[in-house]
Amino acid sequence: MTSEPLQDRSHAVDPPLGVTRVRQIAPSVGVLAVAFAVGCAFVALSGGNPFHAGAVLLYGAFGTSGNIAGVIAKSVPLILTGLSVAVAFRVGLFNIGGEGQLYAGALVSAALGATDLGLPSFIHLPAVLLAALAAGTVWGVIPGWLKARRGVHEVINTIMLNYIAIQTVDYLVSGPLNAGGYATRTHPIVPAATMPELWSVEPVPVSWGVVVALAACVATAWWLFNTAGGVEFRAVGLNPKASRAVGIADTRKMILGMGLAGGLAGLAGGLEVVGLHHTLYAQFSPGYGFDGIAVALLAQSHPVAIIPVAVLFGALRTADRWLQLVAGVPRDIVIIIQGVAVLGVGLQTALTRRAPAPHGPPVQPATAS
Amino acid sequence: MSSEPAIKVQNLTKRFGATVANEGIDLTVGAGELHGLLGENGAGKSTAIRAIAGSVAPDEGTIAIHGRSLPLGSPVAAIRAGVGLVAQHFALVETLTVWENIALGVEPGRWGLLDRSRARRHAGSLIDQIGADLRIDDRIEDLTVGNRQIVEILKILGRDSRVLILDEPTSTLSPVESERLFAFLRRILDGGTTVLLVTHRIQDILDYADRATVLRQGRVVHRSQRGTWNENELVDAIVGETNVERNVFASTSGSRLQLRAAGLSTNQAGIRNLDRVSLEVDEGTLVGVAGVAGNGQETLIRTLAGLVPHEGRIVLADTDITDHTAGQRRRDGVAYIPEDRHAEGMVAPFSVVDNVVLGNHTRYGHRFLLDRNRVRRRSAELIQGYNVRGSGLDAPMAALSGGNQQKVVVARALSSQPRLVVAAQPTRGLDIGAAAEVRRKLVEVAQRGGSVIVTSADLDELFDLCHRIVVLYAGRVAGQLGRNAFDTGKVARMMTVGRDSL
Ligand SMILES: Nc1ncnc2c1ncn2[C@@H]1O[C@H](COP(=O)(O)OP(=O)(O)OP(=O)(O)O)[C@@H](O)[C@H]1O
Ligand SMILES: [Mg+2]
Repeated sequence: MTSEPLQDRSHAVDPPLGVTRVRQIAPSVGVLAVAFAVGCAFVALSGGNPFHAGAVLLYGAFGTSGNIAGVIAKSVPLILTGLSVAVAFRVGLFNIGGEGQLYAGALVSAALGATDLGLPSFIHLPAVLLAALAAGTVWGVIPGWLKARRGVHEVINTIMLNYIAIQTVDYLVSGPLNAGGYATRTHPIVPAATMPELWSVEPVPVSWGVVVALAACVATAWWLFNTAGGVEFRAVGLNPKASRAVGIADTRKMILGMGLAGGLAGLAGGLEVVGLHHTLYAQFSPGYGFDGIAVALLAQSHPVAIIPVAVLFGALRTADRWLQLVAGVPRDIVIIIQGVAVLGVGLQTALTRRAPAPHGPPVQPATAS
Repeated sequence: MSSEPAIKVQNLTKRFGATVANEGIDLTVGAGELHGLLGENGAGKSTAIRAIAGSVAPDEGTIAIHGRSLPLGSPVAAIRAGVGLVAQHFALVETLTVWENIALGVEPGRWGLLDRSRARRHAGSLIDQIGADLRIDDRIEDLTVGNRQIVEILKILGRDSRVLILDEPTSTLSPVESERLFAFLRRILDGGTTVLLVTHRIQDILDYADRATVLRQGRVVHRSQRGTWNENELVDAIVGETNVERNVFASTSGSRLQLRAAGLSTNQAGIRNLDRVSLEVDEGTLVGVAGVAGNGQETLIRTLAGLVPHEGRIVLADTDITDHTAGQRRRDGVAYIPEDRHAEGMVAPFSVVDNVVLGNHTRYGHRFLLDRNRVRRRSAELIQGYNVRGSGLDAPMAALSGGNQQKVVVARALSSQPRLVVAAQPTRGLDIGAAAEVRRKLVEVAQRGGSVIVTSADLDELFDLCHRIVVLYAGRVAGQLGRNAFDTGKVARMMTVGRDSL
């Protein structure tokens, strides 16, 4: 018997969920393994012992509760910016503007969280976070709208909006919003707007922000895969023309996607302010918005897979100074690892594109055939 | 050399999971022969030829080209052996021009520099050889499907393939274009090239092929050759025992006006694909739109579907839908069957289930949550009666054979009880049985009181199906013929010179 009329065999033939999952995850794990191998080679080249360096990295990330808390602190913004980029990817857009959206969210929450409005915490804090989300959303909707309605490429606009946001924060933090003194930072966040502690560790306690970030991942995954809106959203990302032809409002989905992406990055900025620094510093982000691209790529834009990848990157970023201090190896090795991983994903996409697609020709250029 | 067959396939077997696409296929194609490969949708034709071209790695079997055995699953080895495959679905870069696409991958030049003028000359001479109505500087995205097909073929021919494999090249070509293609193939056959041709048009085989092989359910069920074959025998071998009824026309009638389109004009990058086209269609009526490819038929269909900005008015059963988006028109009762299923008809990585209900997901859920079981049940219901074959509802759409994908696209469009169906080549890629089935479904729409506007590369199909035929020439209505005035000569004249009389 060859092919038979299609019928509902949902209970019979599909490979068990685990098998498909493994097939999906394998490429990313492979790429990471290669990246770490390259990292080891560089360690050896610079005169270090890869095993020692590895042990130091592990200790630096997870050796003490303080180190673990440090990893969490770095993972939270990476989860949200990674998710931001992933959401945009799902509708077929490239959000390079995570950094600007993050700054926009941070700025608004620093402005609203620094004065005691006489509000109880359960109103003030959510209001500040919603404002951060809204600010990021605006910063995302602008390029989304320009792309969907005017055909202007989102990459150009998001990059420009990055400059605007970062420079504006620079100016305001050193000028009008400056708290005085030598530091370029704003007035501290009032207690009513501060994210409560989840785990009090020295030196940096972990706030409930991590729960917010995890919840955002789960909610996004649920929306993408279990709601009609989510299915249509992904359809637009995979084939906008076909989506339009069946009556899905593709341009609206694109604007929505960039808005959501911006909102998530904005929320990351807000959480940095009310959950970690309790003030807004100029240049407070080491590039979380850009690292989010790497996170999303490695996680293959899956909202839940974002979490382990972000934690991995957070761990590398936390432990890298130990490399320098203890193992005597340049901390930039970590950046190399990250870079190789991203390259690997890019290469993989290029290669699988060229592999025989189910009904495609042997060599398939970038068009939807 | 000539004593060895150009293609010798032995015991070819390929499974996709539980689906056996090819089972012990033996196929021998002599050098300089035009060999037809036939079979119903999902019979395994594309899989077999993709195995020969190395883009599918068979599980078992051997393949030899001109006596030299090929390593399996290596496209590079196949190309070196002189095999050129023109796939069922296009692989053109839409934003590039004709000559750039032809040059792609085999750019002439030295030291990595592209020799532009040589590449352009090469493309130009190929176009001249085949006599195509194409300019080397046309952008692919502006071409009709038929012309894209020609570019695909030129692209492969430009690589000096000695064994040319074509997967359903004629399914989108008008008779004139097909004739041109075969005249060209005849010339290269005489020059010693071998051609293996997959087609659903028996006439292609009867008119031009030397031998034919028929597959069914992955196996060879029939072999015959010029001189001994006859049409009925081939049809029987392809579809099994079923009788294919060609004549589906039913004299339905309705008196109320369903659609009034007045003065439709489009302007796409300065090109007026439609120029003041007016059209009225009654309830219960099927109207065929004929024309040489590129004269506005597809644009008319897409304009009515709401996918092309246009001037003029469109009124559907008393409602002015001129300003309605594609989504609104769909809800107004307009169903669209696109000409290019890959570009506009499906989301390839999505499951068959999700493709069947695409655009309707919001109907199946409580508030936000999607009711997966309902979606699955509903889509199983919707494709029932279309005989979609493949390896399950949850398999990705990309894993269906071309014809089965087309059935899903048609099923989706007709599932919504539309008032007006606008269909661009709805039977493209379907086997004889499935094509007849789709024609019957279109007639059913009319019997229910709906209306159908349909294009086809095959005039006879329109003659079989329609109450009236409208001929477009250079974006304008060149003339209309009622059913009792149908006449191939008349239509052909209108198609080629824009009016009935010379
Ligand atoms: N990549 C794939 N994964 C799973 N199944 C596949 C894949 N490719 C083909 N098949 C299955 O193999 C069978 C044969 O498909 P094939 O494309 O060879 O048919 P075909 O004869 O070319 O049909 P058509 O006339 O519709 O193009 C079908 O049942 C199809 O669903
Ligand atoms: Mg096929």
